[in-house]
Amino acid sequence: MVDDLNNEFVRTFMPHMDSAFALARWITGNPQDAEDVVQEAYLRAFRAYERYTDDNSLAWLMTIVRNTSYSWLRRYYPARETAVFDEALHSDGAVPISSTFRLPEQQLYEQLERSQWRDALDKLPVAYREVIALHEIQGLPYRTVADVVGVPIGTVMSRLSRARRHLQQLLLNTKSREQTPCNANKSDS
Amino acid sequence: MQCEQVRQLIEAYVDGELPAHEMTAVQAHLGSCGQCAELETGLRQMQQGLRQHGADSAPIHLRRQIEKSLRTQPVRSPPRAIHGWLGVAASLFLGLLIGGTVPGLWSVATHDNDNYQALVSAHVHSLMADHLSDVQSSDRHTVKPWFTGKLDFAPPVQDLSDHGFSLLGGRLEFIRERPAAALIYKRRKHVINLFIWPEAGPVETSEAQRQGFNLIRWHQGGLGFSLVSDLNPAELTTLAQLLQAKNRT
Repeated sequence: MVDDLNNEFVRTFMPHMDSAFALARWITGNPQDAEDVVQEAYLRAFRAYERYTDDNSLAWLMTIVRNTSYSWLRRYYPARETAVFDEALHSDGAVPISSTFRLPEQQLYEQLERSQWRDALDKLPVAYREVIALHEIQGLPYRTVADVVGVPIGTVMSRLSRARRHLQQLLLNTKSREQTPCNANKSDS
Repeated sequence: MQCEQVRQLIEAYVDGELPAHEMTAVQAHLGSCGQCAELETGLRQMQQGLRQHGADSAPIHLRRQIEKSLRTQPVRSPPRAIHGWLGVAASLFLGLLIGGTVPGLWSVATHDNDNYQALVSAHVHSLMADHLSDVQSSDRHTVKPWFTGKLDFAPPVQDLSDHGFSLLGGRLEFIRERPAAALIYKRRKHVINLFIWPEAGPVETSEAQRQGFNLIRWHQGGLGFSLVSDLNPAELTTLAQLLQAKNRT
């Protein structure tokens, strides 16, 4: 009976390992910490398995991975800013992007290399990085992202929109630095 | 639908989160508006780039470690509760088969319990500031001789940096009033204490958990060895195996 419990857990949750690792990597900022976080998260999930009644095993696990990641950050990197920025400063419903969302350069995204994408992601504030990771990279719908992060759907939408614009700016900065290598860059973020 | 409205909905459109009638309306507009269509393309290309370059596969060894540590999890139901004590139970059973007279299960279990408790306390205490090492060095040729004159046995000190365990130093310890050597290793962020003292006993490892720490014990060459750490059981087992192998030579 105990073996059955174990096997059921393994069958349900081991397929989500890559997603768990990706989320942990983007929240903690490096793959070594991600490994530790994922191990701890899976153990926590196993111990809490009795209480699992969801029909969405990925969302349930991602919530645990997210919580474990932030606990990890608070424990080992207490100086790092992990608190969510004050949403009230930017609060609104649908965010109009016409003025601030720049039209991409011709084939901007296709010309960028993997390292440039990942550097840009690393530079994002963690609250932006996690919605990008959950929605853009893992392909989770708004509803699921909202459940995992613990905010209303509207907040997910506006946060995602700002994250995209912020990311685009970082990627554009990378590109222009590439094209004019002799320019001294005054600000680096 | 006008450009301004479309621009407000374009992200939800690309994300497939619009109700059907809005999807259709936006789609129709995009068919005849170059600027808005470019916005859509840009969003999709960014998404594509993120999926391609932002995704990470979990390393294979991580998968194995997790499966292994799930299997060694102590379970609450009584029949499995002795799983972690299997080493003790097995050697007792063997003792019964061979000798007949063996210390009672409970007395031995209590003895082990006290030892485990003492080891964890020593480990926790060492994690406090300035308590970790008496001799701080990653060189085993510095750490090993330091114990001469302080202990009446020579603890083997191994260099395992090639395997990802770095030696931080050594410390004099007392485990239940017995002098012992403590060697401190580190694996990523995890501190590992290896306690060594003279004792005869079974070579088989026995594992336990106390207060969230993992412990592995074994005997070799007349010495008892105990590892204590918050490092996961799978990697701690690897360390135990490496130490056993190196101490054999």
